[in-house]
Amino acid sequence: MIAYIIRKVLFSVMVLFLASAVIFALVSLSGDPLAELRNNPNVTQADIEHLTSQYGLDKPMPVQYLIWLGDLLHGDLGVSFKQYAPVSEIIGDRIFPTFLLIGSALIVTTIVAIPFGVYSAIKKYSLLDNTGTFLSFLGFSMPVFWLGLILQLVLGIYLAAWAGGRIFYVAGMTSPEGGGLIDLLQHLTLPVLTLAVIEIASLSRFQRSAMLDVLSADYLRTARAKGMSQKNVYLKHALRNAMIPSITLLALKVGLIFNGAVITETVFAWPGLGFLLVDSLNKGDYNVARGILIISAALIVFFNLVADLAYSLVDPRVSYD
Amino acid sequence: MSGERLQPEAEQTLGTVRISRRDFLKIGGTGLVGATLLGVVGCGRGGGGQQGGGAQGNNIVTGIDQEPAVLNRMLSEGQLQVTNDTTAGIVQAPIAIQPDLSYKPVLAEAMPELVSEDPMILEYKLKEGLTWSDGEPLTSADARWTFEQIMNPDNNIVSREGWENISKFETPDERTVRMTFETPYAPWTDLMGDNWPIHPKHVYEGKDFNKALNNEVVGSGPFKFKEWKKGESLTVERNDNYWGEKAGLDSVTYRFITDTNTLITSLQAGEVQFINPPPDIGLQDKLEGIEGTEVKIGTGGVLWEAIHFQVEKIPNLKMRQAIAYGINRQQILDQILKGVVDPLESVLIPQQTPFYTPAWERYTHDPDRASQLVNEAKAEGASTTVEISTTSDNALRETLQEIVQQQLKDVGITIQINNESATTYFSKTTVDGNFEMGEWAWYATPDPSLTSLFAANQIPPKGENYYRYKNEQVSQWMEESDKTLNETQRAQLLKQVQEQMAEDLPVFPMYQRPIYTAFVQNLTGVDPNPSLAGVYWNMGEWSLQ
Repeated sequence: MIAYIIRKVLFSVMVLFLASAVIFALVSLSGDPLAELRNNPNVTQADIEHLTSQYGLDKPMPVQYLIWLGDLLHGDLGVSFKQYAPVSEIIGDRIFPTFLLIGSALIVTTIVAIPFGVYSAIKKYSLLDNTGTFLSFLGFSMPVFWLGLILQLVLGIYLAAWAGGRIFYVAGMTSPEGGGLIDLLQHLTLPVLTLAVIEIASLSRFQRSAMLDVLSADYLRTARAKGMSQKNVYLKHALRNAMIPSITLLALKVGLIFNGAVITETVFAWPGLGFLLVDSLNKGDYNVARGILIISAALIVFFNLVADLAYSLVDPRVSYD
Repeated sequence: MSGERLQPEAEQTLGTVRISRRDFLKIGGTGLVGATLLGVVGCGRGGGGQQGGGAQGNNIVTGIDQEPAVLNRMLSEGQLQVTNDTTAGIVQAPIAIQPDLSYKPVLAEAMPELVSEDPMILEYKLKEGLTWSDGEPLTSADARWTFEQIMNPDNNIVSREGWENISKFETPDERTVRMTFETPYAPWTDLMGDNWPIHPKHVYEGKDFNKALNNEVVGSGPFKFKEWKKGESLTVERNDNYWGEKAGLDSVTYRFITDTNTLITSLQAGEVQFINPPPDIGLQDKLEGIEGTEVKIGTGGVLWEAIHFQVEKIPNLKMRQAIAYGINRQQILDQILKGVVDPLESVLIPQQTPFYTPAWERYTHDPDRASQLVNEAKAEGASTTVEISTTSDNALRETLQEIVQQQLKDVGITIQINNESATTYFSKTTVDGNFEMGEWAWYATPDPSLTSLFAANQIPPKGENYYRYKNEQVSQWMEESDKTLNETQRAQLLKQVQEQMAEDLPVFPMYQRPIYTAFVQNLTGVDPNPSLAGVYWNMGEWSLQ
C-alpha cells in the first residue's frame, strides 16, 4: 500500500510538471497580450517594444517558462499583465461565486439523481424508468449554452410575464441595490438548474446501472432467501454498495470545481472562475489564465489520487498490493 | 462539468459498473477544452417581453460586454473601450470629442489656442469655479501634476507621443496652462482630449500612479465612483459637488455581460435598461423585436472596415482594380447591415473634414470592366486565385467574405477563404505580411494622420504598414502633413495622399461600423458617440422620464 502511494504521488508530480509545460505553452500560443495595443494607432512601435520587455515577452519561451515555473514553485502565481495585481488575489476574489454555483449544483444533482437512479433500477422498464431514460438522454444531449438560453427565456422572461413580476434573474449574482438571501437565490436558480439538469442526466444513469448490477448479485438473493424485508434488502445491502461509483464520481467532480463552469458562467454573467478564465484569455492576461489552469490541474490530480486511495477504503475487495 | 458519457449498460452483468477514472478524466478534459474553444455560440431569439421597467427610482443598470482591467485610461492596461465607457461620467479632459468628431471645450473655457507657430505654443484657460467631486478646487496645478505623471518614466503610460515634444509646461496662474513644443505637433487635439483626462493632485500625490487609479478613480465629472464588484458590476453615483449641471440619474450600474444573447435577454427581462451590443447579422431585428424598447443606431463609426491588400503578394494593379470593380459594396451592406451605413469612400472618414475626400468613389460596381481587367491581368501573368483572410468567429466579416467570394466568382476570380483567431491574425499574420487580401478594421482618430499605416518606412516592426505599400511620393506628402500646422495646407497634402492611394489601391474601404444601442423608452438623452468617447460620453445628460 505504502509503495503504491509513493509510486502514485511521484507519478502525480510528473503529471503536474507536464501539465505546467503544456498550460504554459498553450496559453502563450493562444495569442498576444499586446494585440489590442498593436492595433491602436496611438501606440508606437517603441511603446510596444518597451512593454514586451517589461512583461518578459522578449525572452525565448523556454526561458519564460522556467522563470514562471520557478515563481510557481515558490507559491507565486505572478502578476496580472492587465491589472497590476497579484494573480492569487484576482483568483481569490472569484472562488466564492464558483464554489457557491457548483456546490449548489452538485447538491441538487445528488439529491435528485441518486434516489431517482435507485428507483429506476428497482422498477426497471416501468413507465417512470423509461421516461427517465428518455429524459436523461435529452438532458445529456442538450448543449449547455442552449439550455441556459431556453431557461432564461422560459423561466426568466415568460414566467415573469405570466406571474406579473420577476421571479428569477437571467444575469449576475446580486442586484446593484443588494438584497440578501432571497436576491441571491433569485440569481442562483437558473445557472444551478442549467448545470444540474445535465449532471442529473448522467449521474442518475450511473446510479441506475450500479444499482441494477448489485440487485442481481448473489448476496442479495441470499438476503431475500433469509426472509429479509424488501425495504431492508434495498436500503441496507443494495444501496450502500451501489453508492460506491457515484461517490467516486462526485469526488472527482470536486476537483473540477476550480475550472468553474465556463459556459454556464458566461451565459449567466456569473462572476466566477470560468468567467474569469474566458475573460483573461480574451484579454491576453496570460498569468491569470495560467494560474486558474494550473491550480485546477493540481486539484484534479489530487482528487484523482484521493479517489484512488478512497477505493481501497470504501471497497474492501479492492487491494493495491 | 459536462461531457461524461454513459457506460454501456451491457457491462452491468460483468460487475464493472465502476467507471474508470482515466476515462472520466479524459472525457472531462475534452469537455473542458471543447467548452473553452467553443466559447458561447449564440442562437435563440426573444419573444414576448416585459414592459421596460426594472429601474428602481432614478437608477439604471446597463449591460456592457466587457469588464475593464484598470480604471486609469493613461496606462497601457487601460486601453480598452470599456475603460472609457465606465469612467465616462467620472473623469474629464480640457476638451471632448463630440459625436460628429469635432471637439468642444469641457474643463477648458474655450478651445486651446495656438499662441505661436514657431516655436509652437499652445495655451488654454480652465473654466472658473471647477471642483473635484470631493469639493476641492480644480486648478492648473492639477494639469501640471498630470503632465508630470505622463512624463515620469516609472509610470507605465501607454504612449508619450506628442507629450515628448513639450519642452516647457507653464502655469502662469491658477487657471492658465501654456505648453511650448520643441517641434511642431499637428495632432495636438489628441493630447487635450478624452484619452488624457486631468487627475487630482491632492488625492494622488505621492502615490504610485501605476496602481492608485486602478480600482477606483476620483474625477471632476457629473458622476463619482461608488463600487466595483469584480467580475460582476461597477457602479457610479451622482456627484453632488459637480461644477456643471447635475446629472439626471442618481446612479448607473454597469453589469458585465459578455454573452450577446444574455445582453439582449437581460434587457428583455428588465434587468438592465440600456445595452450596446457589438454589431452582428440580424441584431437590429432582434433589438427592434423587444417590446417597450427604443433602438438608436449611431452611424459614422470610427472603426472602419476595409479590404486590405498585401501589395507584394498581389503586385498586379489591374488585378486589384478588378477586385475593386467586381465587389458590390452596396449589396453587401444591404445584406449584412440592412443598409444602415453607406460604403466608405476613403481611408479617412467623412467626419474628418476638411481632410477627407471621397477618392475611392471611382470604383463603382462594374462587373464588365472587372472581367476585362481580370483577362488583362491574366495575360500579364497574374494568378486569378486570391486568398482572403480575416478573424474567425466574426459573423459580419465572414458573411462579407462569402458575398465577396460570390461576386468575384462572377468576374472570373476564385476566392479562397482562410481565417484565423483574432489574436494570431493581428499579432502574426498581418504583421508578417502573410496575407493576400485581408479584412479588418482600423480606428480613425480625430487627427487625420495616415503615416503609421501607409508610409514606406512604416513597415513592421516600425509601424503598421502591413500592406508593404511603398510610394515614396505619398510617404513624403504624409510626413510633410504631420508637420504642417496650417489646416488648409495640411488638408491639401492629405487629399493628394488619398487620391494617389485610390489610384495605387493598397486598400479598398468598405464601411464604418455602426453602433447599436437599445434602451427602455423612458430613458432620454442617449446620443451614441461613434468615436472612442463611446456611447456613455454624455451620461450626465441622461434621465428617466
